[in-house]
Amino acid sequence: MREHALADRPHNSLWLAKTYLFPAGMYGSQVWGTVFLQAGREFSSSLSTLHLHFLKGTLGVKRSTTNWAVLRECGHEPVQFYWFRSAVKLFNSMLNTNSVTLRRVVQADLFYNLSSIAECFSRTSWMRVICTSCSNWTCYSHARVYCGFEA
Amino acid sequence: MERRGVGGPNTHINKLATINHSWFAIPFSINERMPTTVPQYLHLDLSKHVLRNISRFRLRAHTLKVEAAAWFEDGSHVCDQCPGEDEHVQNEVHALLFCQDRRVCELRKHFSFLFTPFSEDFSAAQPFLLQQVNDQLVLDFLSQQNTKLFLFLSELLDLFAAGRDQSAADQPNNLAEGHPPL
Repeated sequence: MREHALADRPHNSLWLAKTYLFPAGMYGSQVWGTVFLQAGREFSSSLSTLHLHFLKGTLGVKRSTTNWAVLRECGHEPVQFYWFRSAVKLFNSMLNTNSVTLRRVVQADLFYNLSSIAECFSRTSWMRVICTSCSNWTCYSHARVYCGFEA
Repeated sequence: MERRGVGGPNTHINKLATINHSWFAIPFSINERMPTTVPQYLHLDLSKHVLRNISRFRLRAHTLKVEAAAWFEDGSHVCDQCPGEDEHVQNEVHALLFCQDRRVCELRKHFSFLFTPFSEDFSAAQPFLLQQVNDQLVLDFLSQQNTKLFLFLSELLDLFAAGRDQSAADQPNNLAEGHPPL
Protein backbone atom coordinates (compact mmCIF):
# COMPACT_ATOMS: atom_id res chain seq x y z
CA MET A 1 0.00 0.00 0.00
CA ARG A 2 2.66 2.51 1.08
CA GLU A 3 5.18 1.52 -1.55
CA HIS A 4 2.79 2.21 -4.39
CA ALA A 5 1.02 5.09 -2.62
CA LEU A 6 -2.27 3.21 -2.87
CA ALA A 7 -3.54 4.81 0.30
CA ASP A 8 -3.78 8.13 -1.56
CA ARG A 9 -6.35 6.63 -3.90
CA PRO A 10 -9.52 5.85 -1.94
CA HIS A 11 -10.88 3.73 -4.74
CA ASN A 12 -7.94 1.32 -4.40
CA SER A 13 -8.31 1.09 -0.63
CA LEU A 14 -12.01 0.36 -0.95
CA TRP A 15 -11.46 -2.27 -3.60
CA LEU A 16 -8.68 -3.98 -1.64
CA ALA A 17 -10.82 -3.98 1.49
CA LYS A 18 -13.66 -5.62 -0.40
CA THR A 19 -11.32 -8.22 -1.83
CA TYR A 20 -9.26 -9.15 1.23
CA LEU A 21 -11.04 -8.00 4.38
CA PHE A 22 -14.50 -9.35 3.67
CA PRO A 23 -13.38 -12.97 3.16
CA ALA A 24 -11.35 -12.76 6.38
CA GLY A 25 -14.35 -11.37 8.23
CA MET A 26 -16.56 -14.17 6.98
CA TYR A 27 -14.52 -17.06 8.34
CA GLY A 28 -16.97 -19.37 10.09
CA SER A 29 -19.68 -16.70 9.94
CA GLN A 30 -22.27 -19.35 9.05
CA VAL A 31 -22.03 -20.40 12.68
CA TRP A 32 -21.26 -17.33 14.77
CA GLY A 33 -22.71 -14.69 12.45
CA THR A 34 -26.34 -15.73 12.69
CA VAL A 35 -26.97 -13.64 15.81
CA PHE A 36 -26.41 -10.54 13.69
CA LEU A 37 -28.73 -11.51 10.85
CA GLN A 38 -31.92 -10.09 12.25
CA ALA A 39 -33.37 -6.76 11.20
CA GLY A 40 -31.98 -3.84 13.15
CA ARG A 41 -28.71 -5.59 13.95
CA GLU A 42 -26.86 -4.52 10.81
CA PHE A 43 -24.34 -2.48 12.75
CA SER A 44 -24.35 -4.38 16.04
CA SER A 45 -21.23 -6.48 15.53
CA SER A 46 -17.75 -5.22 16.24
CA LEU A 47 -16.66 -6.28 12.73
CA SER A 48 -19.34 -4.07 11.26
CA THR A 49 -18.11 -1.22 13.44
CA LEU A 50 -14.57 -1.78 12.20
CA HIS A 51 -15.83 -1.85 8.62
CA LEU A 52 -17.62 1.49 9.00
CA HIS A 53 -14.67 2.92 10.88
CA PHE A 54 -12.46 2.05 7.93
CA LEU A 55 -14.89 3.55 5.40
CA LYS A 56 -15.37 6.77 7.36
CA GLY A 57 -11.63 7.06 7.87
CA THR A 58 -11.03 6.56 4.16
CA LEU A 59 -13.54 9.25 3.26
CA GLY A 60 -12.41 11.51 6.11
CA VAL A 61 -15.85 12.14 7.50
CA LYS A 62 -16.89 12.32 11.12
CA ARG A 63 -18.09 9.26 12.98
CA SER A 64 -21.70 10.44 13.22
CA THR A 65 -22.16 10.35 9.44
CA THR A 66 -25.08 8.19 8.37
CA ASN A 67 -23.92 4.61 8.01
CA TRP A 68 -26.14 3.69 5.06
CA ALA A 69 -25.04 6.75 3.09
CA VAL A 70 -21.37 5.94 3.77
CA LEU A 71 -21.86 2.37 2.57
CA ARG A 72 -23.57 3.54 -0.62
CA GLU A 73 -20.91 6.17 -1.26
CA CYS A 74 -18.17 3.55 -1.01
CA GLY A 75 -20.05 0.94 -3.02
CA HIS A 76 -19.94 -1.49 -0.12
CA GLU A 77 -22.68 -3.70 1.25
CA PRO A 78 -23.09 -4.18 5.01
CA VAL A 79 -21.14 -7.15 6.37
CA GLN A 80 -24.43 -8.64 7.46
CA PHE A 81 -25.36 -9.12 3.82
CA TYR A 82 -22.38 -11.45 3.26
CA TRP A 83 -23.02 -13.35 6.47
CA PHE A 84 -26.66 -13.81 5.54
CA ARG A 85 -25.74 -15.04 2.08
CA SER A 86 -23.19 -17.55 3.37
CA ALA A 87 -25.61 -18.83 6.03
CA VAL A 88 -28.35 -19.34 3.44
CA LYS A 89 -25.87 -21.08 1.14
CA LEU A 90 -25.00 -23.49 3.96
CA PHE A 91 -28.69 -24.03 4.69
CA ASN A 92 -29.41 -24.77 1.02
CA SER A 93 -26.49 -27.13 0.72
CA MET A 94 -27.73 -29.03 3.77
CA LEU A 95 -31.18 -29.33 2.21
CA ASN A 96 -29.71 -30.63 -1.04
CA THR A 97 -27.17 -32.94 0.51
CA ASN A 98 -26.89 -36.54 -0.67
CA SER A 99 -26.31 -37.75 2.87
CA VAL A 100 -29.48 -39.35 4.13
CA THR A 101 -28.43 -38.93 7.75
CA LEU A 102 -27.73 -35.21 7.43
CA ARG A 103 -31.00 -34.69 5.55
CA ARG A 104 -32.92 -36.38 8.36
CA VAL A 105 -31.15 -34.30 10.96
CA VAL A 106 -32.01 -31.10 9.09
CA GLN A 107 -35.62 -32.16 8.71
CA ALA A 108 -35.88 -33.00 12.38
CA ASP A 109 -34.25 -29.72 13.37
CA LEU A 110 -36.57 -27.79 11.07
CA PHE A 111 -39.63 -29.58 12.42
CA TYR A 112 -38.52 -29.01 15.99
CA ASN A 113 -37.81 -25.30 15.49
CA LEU A 114 -41.03 -24.63 13.65
CA SER A 115 -43.15 -26.39 16.24
CA SER A 116 -44.49 -24.80 19.37
CA ILE A 117 -42.11 -26.77 21.61
CA ALA A 118 -39.22 -24.65 20.36
CA GLU A 119 -40.90 -21.48 21.62
CA CYS A 120 -40.01 -22.57 25.13
CA PHE A 121 -36.51 -23.96 24.67
CA SER A 122 -34.54 -22.79 21.67
CA ARG A 123 -35.17 -19.21 20.71
CA THR A 124 -31.55 -18.76 19.64
CA SER A 125 -30.81 -22.02 17.84
CA TRP A 126 -29.06 -21.77 14.48
CA MET A 127 -31.97 -23.14 12.48
CA ARG A 128 -34.47 -20.92 14.22
CA VAL A 129 -32.45 -17.76 13.60
CA ILE A 130 -32.10 -18.64 9.92
CA CYS A 131 -35.82 -19.34 9.58
CA THR A 132 -36.76 -16.14 11.41
CA SER A 133 -34.39 -14.04 9.34
CA CYS A 134 -35.77 -15.44 6.11
CA SER A 135 -39.39 -15.15 7.14
CA ASN A 136 -38.90 -11.53 8.24
CA TRP A 137 -37.68 -10.61 4.78
CA THR A 138 -34.56 -9.25 6.40
CA CYS A 139 -32.58 -8.92 3.22
CA TYR A 140 -35.53 -7.33 1.44
CA SER A 141 -36.05 -4.61 4.02
CA HIS A 142 -32.31 -3.95 4.18
CA ALA A 143 -32.16 -3.64 0.43
CA ARG A 144 -34.92 -1.04 0.53
CA VAL A 145 -32.99 1.10 3.01
CA TYR A 146 -29.79 0.62 1.06
CA CYS A 147 -31.43 1.64 -2.18
CA GLY A 148 -33.03 4.71 -0.64
CA PHE A 149 -36.66 3.62 -0.90
CA GLU A 150 -37.25 3.83 2.84
CA ALA A 151 -37.88 7.39 4.03
CA MET B 1 -24.95 17.06 23.05
CA GLU B 2 -28.10 15.44 21.78
CA ARG B 3 -29.58 15.50 18.36
CA ARG B 4 -32.74 17.48 18.08
CA GLY B 5 -35.69 15.89 16.33
CA VAL B 6 -39.31 15.04 16.86
CA GLY B 7 -39.31 11.63 15.24
CA GLY B 8 -36.36 10.18 17.11
CA PRO B 9 -32.87 9.34 15.90
CA ASN B 10 -33.96 6.80 13.29
CA THR B 11 -36.19 9.36 11.58
CA HIS B 12 -33.31 11.80 11.41
CA ILE B 13 -30.95 9.15 10.01
CA ASN B 14 -33.48 8.01 7.42
CA LYS B 15 -34.05 11.62 6.38
CA LEU B 16 -30.31 12.08 5.87
CA ALA B 17 -30.15 8.87 3.85
CA THR B 18 -33.07 10.04 1.68
CA ILE B 19 -31.40 13.38 1.02
CA ASN B 20 -28.21 11.61 0.11
CA HIS B 21 -30.06 9.36 -2.33
CA SER B 22 -31.99 12.25 -3.89
CA TRP B 23 -29.10 14.57 -4.57
CA PHE B 24 -25.85 12.65 -4.51
CA ALA B 25 -26.26 8.88 -4.95
CA ILE B 26 -24.95 7.29 -8.12
CA PRO B 27 -27.68 5.28 -9.88
CA PHE B 28 -27.33 1.52 -9.62
CA SER B 29 -25.62 -0.32 -12.42
CA ILE B 30 -27.34 -3.04 -14.43
CA ASN B 31 -24.34 -5.26 -13.70
CA GLU B 32 -25.71 -7.65 -11.08
CA ARG B 33 -22.29 -8.62 -9.81
CA MET B 34 -21.35 -4.99 -9.18
CA PRO B 35 -24.57 -2.98 -8.75
CA THR B 36 -23.00 -0.01 -7.02
CA THR B 37 -20.56 2.39 -8.60
CA VAL B 38 -18.02 4.42 -6.70
CA PRO B 39 -18.33 8.17 -7.40
CA GLN B 40 -15.92 9.68 -9.87
CA TYR B 41 -14.04 11.80 -7.36
CA LEU B 42 -12.73 8.72 -5.55
CA HIS B 43 -10.90 7.70 -8.74
CA LEU B 44 -9.21 11.05 -9.30
CA ASP B 45 -5.83 12.23 -8.14
CA LEU B 46 -7.11 14.95 -5.85
CA SER B 47 -5.53 16.26 -2.69
CA LYS B 48 -6.67 14.79 0.61
CA HIS B 49 -8.21 18.09 1.60
CA VAL B 50 -10.32 18.26 -1.55
CA LEU B 51 -11.33 14.61 -1.25
CA ARG B 52 -12.38 15.07 2.34
CA ASN B 53 -14.32 18.22 1.55
CA ILE B 54 -16.25 16.49 -1.22
CA SER B 55 -17.03 13.49 0.98
CA ARG B 56 -18.21 15.78 3.75
CA PHE B 57 -20.38 17.75 1.37
CA ARG B 58 -21.98 14.66 -0.20
CA LEU B 59 -22.56 12.86 3.10
CA ARG B 60 -23.79 15.88 5.03
CA ALA B 61 -20.86 15.76 7.41
CA HIS B 62 -20.18 19.47 6.97
CA THR B 63 -20.84 22.55 9.06
CA LEU B 64 -23.58 24.15 7.00
CA LYS B 65 -26.40 25.46 9.15
CA VAL B 66 -28.81 22.66 8.26
CA GLU B 67 -26.46 20.10 9.81
CA ALA B 68 -24.96 22.22 12.57
CA ALA B 69 -28.44 23.17 13.82
CA ALA B 70 -29.27 19.52 14.44
CA TRP B 71 -26.64 19.41 17.18
CA PHE B 72 -27.82 22.41 19.17
CA GLU B 73 -31.11 23.15 20.90
CA ASP B 74 -31.15 26.77 19.78
CA GLY B 75 -29.65 26.08 16.36
CA SER B 76 -31.00 27.95 13.38
CA HIS B 77 -31.19 26.64 9.81
CA VAL B 78 -31.23 30.14 8.34
CA CYS B 79 -28.30 31.14 6.17
CA ASP B 80 -26.17 33.76 7.87
CA GLN B 81 -24.19 34.55 4.73
CA CYS B 82 -27.01 35.85 2.55
CA PRO B 83 -27.51 39.62 2.61
CA GLY B 84 -31.06 40.93 2.97
CA GLU B 85 -34.08 40.10 5.06
CA ASP B 86 -35.11 36.86 3.37
CA GLU B 87 -34.56 33.72 5.39
CA HIS B 88 -33.27 30.72 3.48
CA VAL B 89 -32.37 27.32 4.85
CA GLN B 90 -28.64 26.89 4.46
CA ASN B 91 -28.38 23.42 2.97
CA GLU B 92 -26.25 21.95 0.20
CA VAL B 93 -28.47 23.16 -2.64
CA HIS B 94 -28.64 26.65 -1.17
CA ALA B 95 -24.86 26.79 -0.98
CA LEU B 96 -24.55 25.47 -4.51
CA LEU B 97 -27.11 27.57 -6.34
CA PHE B 98 -28.94 30.13 -4.24
CA CYS B 99 -26.68 31.80 -1.70
CA GLN B 100 -26.14 35.47 -2.53
CA ASP B 101 -23.04 35.99 -0.45
CA ARG B 102 -20.46 38.07 -2.33
CA ARG B 103 -17.62 35.54 -1.99
CA VAL B 104 -19.83 32.64 -3.04
CA CYS B 105 -21.04 34.60 -6.07
CA GLU B 106 -17.43 35.35 -7.03
CA LEU B 107 -16.65 31.65 -6.80
CA ARG B 108 -19.63 30.77 -9.00
CA LYS B 109 -18.53 33.34 -11.56
CA HIS B 110 -15.08 31.76 -11.58
CA PHE B 111 -16.64 28.36 -12.25
CA SER B 112 -19.48 29.67 -14.41
CA PHE B 113 -18.89 27.00 -17.07
CA LEU B 114 -20.25 24.45 -14.61
CA PHE B 115 -23.59 26.25 -14.28
CA THR B 116 -24.46 27.52 -17.74
CA PRO B 117 -25.40 24.11 -19.22
CA PHE B 118 -27.95 23.59 -16.45
CA SER B 119 -29.62 26.95 -16.01
CA GLU B 120 -30.37 29.77 -18.40
CA ASP B 121 -31.04 32.10 -15.47
CA PHE B 122 -27.44 31.98 -14.41
CA SER B 123 -25.31 34.91 -15.59
CA ALA B 124 -22.30 36.96 -14.56
CA ALA B 125 -24.58 39.75 -13.37
CA GLN B 126 -26.68 37.35 -11.31
CA PRO B 127 -24.59 34.34 -10.32
CA PHE B 128 -27.32 32.72 -8.28
CA LEU B 129 -30.78 31.29 -8.85
CA LEU B 130 -34.05 32.67 -7.50
CA GLN B 131 -36.44 29.89 -8.52
CA GLN B 132 -36.56 26.57 -6.75
CA VAL B 133 -35.09 23.62 -8.62
CA ASN B 134 -36.01 19.96 -8.55
CA ASP B 135 -33.87 17.16 -7.17
CA GLN B 136 -33.09 15.81 -10.63
CA LEU B 137 -31.37 19.05 -11.67
CA VAL B 138 -29.22 18.95 -8.54
CA LEU B 139 -28.35 15.31 -9.22
CA ASP B 140 -27.50 16.11 -12.85
CA PHE B 141 -25.38 19.07 -11.82
CA LEU B 142 -23.41 17.04 -9.31
CA SER B 143 -23.05 14.13 -11.74
CA GLN B 144 -21.50 16.12 -14.56
CA GLN B 145 -18.23 14.72 -15.86
CA ASN B 146 -16.06 17.72 -15.12
CA THR B 147 -13.19 17.45 -12.69
CA LYS B 148 -13.39 21.19 -11.97
CA LEU B 149 -16.67 20.52 -10.22
CA PHE B 150 -14.82 18.93 -7.32
CA LEU B 151 -12.50 21.90 -6.92
CA PHE B 152 -15.55 24.14 -6.88
CA LEU B 153 -17.25 22.03 -4.21
CA SER B 154 -14.15 21.99 -2.06
CA GLU B 155 -13.65 25.75 -2.27
CA LEU B 156 -17.34 26.30 -1.62
CA LEU B 157 -17.20 24.26 1.56
CA ASP B 158 -14.05 26.09 2.63
CA LEU B 159 -15.90 29.39 2.23
CA PHE B 160 -18.79 28.28 4.41
CA ALA B 161 -16.48 26.67 6.96
CA ALA B 162 -14.29 29.76 7.33
CA GLY B 163 -14.53 31.22 10.80
CA ARG B 164 -16.64 28.40 12.20
CA ASP B 165 -15.92 25.86 14.86
CA GLN B 166 -14.65 22.76 13.04
CA SER B 167 -14.28 20.58 16.11
CA ALA B 168 -17.39 18.54 15.30
CA ALA B 169 -16.28 17.88 11.73
CA ASP B 170 -12.70 17.14 12.75
CA GLN B 171 -13.51 14.66 15.47
CA PRO B 172 -11.40 11.50 15.25
CA ASN B 173 -12.82 8.49 13.49
CA ASN B 174 -11.22 5.88 15.72
CA LEU B 175 -14.23 6.08 18.00
CA ALA B 176 -16.76 5.32 15.29
CA GLU B 177 -19.93 3.79 16.70
CA GLY B 178 -18.41 3.50 20.16
CA HIS B 179 -15.51 1.31 19.12
CA PRO B 180 -12.48 1.56 21.43
CA PRO B 181 -9.39 3.38 20.09
CA LEU B 182 -7.14 1.21 17.94
